[in-house]
Amino acid sequence: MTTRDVRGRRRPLPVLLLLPLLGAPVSAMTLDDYGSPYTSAGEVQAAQKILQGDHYLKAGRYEAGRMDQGTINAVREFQRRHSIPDSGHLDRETVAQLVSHGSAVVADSRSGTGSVARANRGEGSTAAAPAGARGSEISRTTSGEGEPAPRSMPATAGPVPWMTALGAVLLGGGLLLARRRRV
Amino acid sequence: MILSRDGFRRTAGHVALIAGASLLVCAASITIRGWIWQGRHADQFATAAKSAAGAARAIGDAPAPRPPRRGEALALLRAPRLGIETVVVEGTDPRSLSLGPGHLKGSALPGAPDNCVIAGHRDGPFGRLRAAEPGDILELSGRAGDVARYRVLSVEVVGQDDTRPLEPSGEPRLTLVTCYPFHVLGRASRRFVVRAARLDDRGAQELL
Repeated sequence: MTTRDVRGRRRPLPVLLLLPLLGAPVSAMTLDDYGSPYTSAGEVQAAQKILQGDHYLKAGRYEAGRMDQGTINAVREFQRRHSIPDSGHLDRETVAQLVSHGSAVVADSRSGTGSVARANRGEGSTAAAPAGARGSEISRTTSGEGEPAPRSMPATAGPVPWMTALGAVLLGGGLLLARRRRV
Repeated sequence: MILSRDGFRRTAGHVALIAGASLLVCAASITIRGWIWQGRHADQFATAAKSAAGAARAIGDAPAPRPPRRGEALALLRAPRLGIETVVVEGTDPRSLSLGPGHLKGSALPGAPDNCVIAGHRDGPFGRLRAAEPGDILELSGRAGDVARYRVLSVEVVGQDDTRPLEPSGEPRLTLVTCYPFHVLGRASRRFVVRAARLDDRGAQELL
């Protein structure tokens, strides 16, 4: 898979061109909208408390802070009720839904893990503001709801058409330029 | 002599090839991500509609509506005559719109007695709106299997800054917005607006 130029030096050009193409499925997967699962003991415990409060999980039937089978089943049940793919994982969407169920997760800035407080949403989001990255991410989903957004015309011109056109032009021009000149 | 003229030409060619291929890959991954997202969520609405049709629906029985979150699947939009069947995402930011037509945050929810605004890229399913005519039927199916039917009242082109179609109407309306003209690359200065009014079930029966 190499081409030989005039001076006889080997160039891995076709391989080089294939590299970005190999990236396509990878980038399509990483652009997925479900974030990495929340797995720390504090986060799991916070989720368990909310699940118990909403009767998805029975008190004493699970081990606090651990994703045991009972907890996974409760998460699955919760996900099914909320039209989330029932993976049983605490992914970003599931946590956002859990948080919206009447409880605000307030990140404990000292320990860096999430703890649940039956606080109102305004308090929750201000308290969580200086907390660690994950904690503030959880609380961000609770804030910013309800304020009326000014209605402006959405930008409905997608990037795909011009990307495709420009890409095709560059690809075609590049092929013409890179072609070996016939002697 | 580091590079001959020919060598320079070929190097420029290789750079252009790689840049072009990368852009195509970006465009493809955005499109594929949209397909994956649409495929994943379309089934949910189909099963929701089925279970709602099977169970006798009492009005007071419906769960309390919860405000949808940005990037979340909101409803299934169908326009049988135009061949549109697409999942509507909440939010009209670029990321949401790359997944499918987006519901303008702050506008009424589907079926509510106010103006529900949905905007979409013209290169997606909303490109087919160009064939829309007054009298066409639009259907919005919600997560709970509830279906709201609308009839197209008008089709018009407005300026980019004309936000009147987006304003609250006080009546159950559906407003679909996409770019105009349909074939230009890049930013568009005008918007193609389809307005529809909700049909109650009896009205739909009369019309069909």
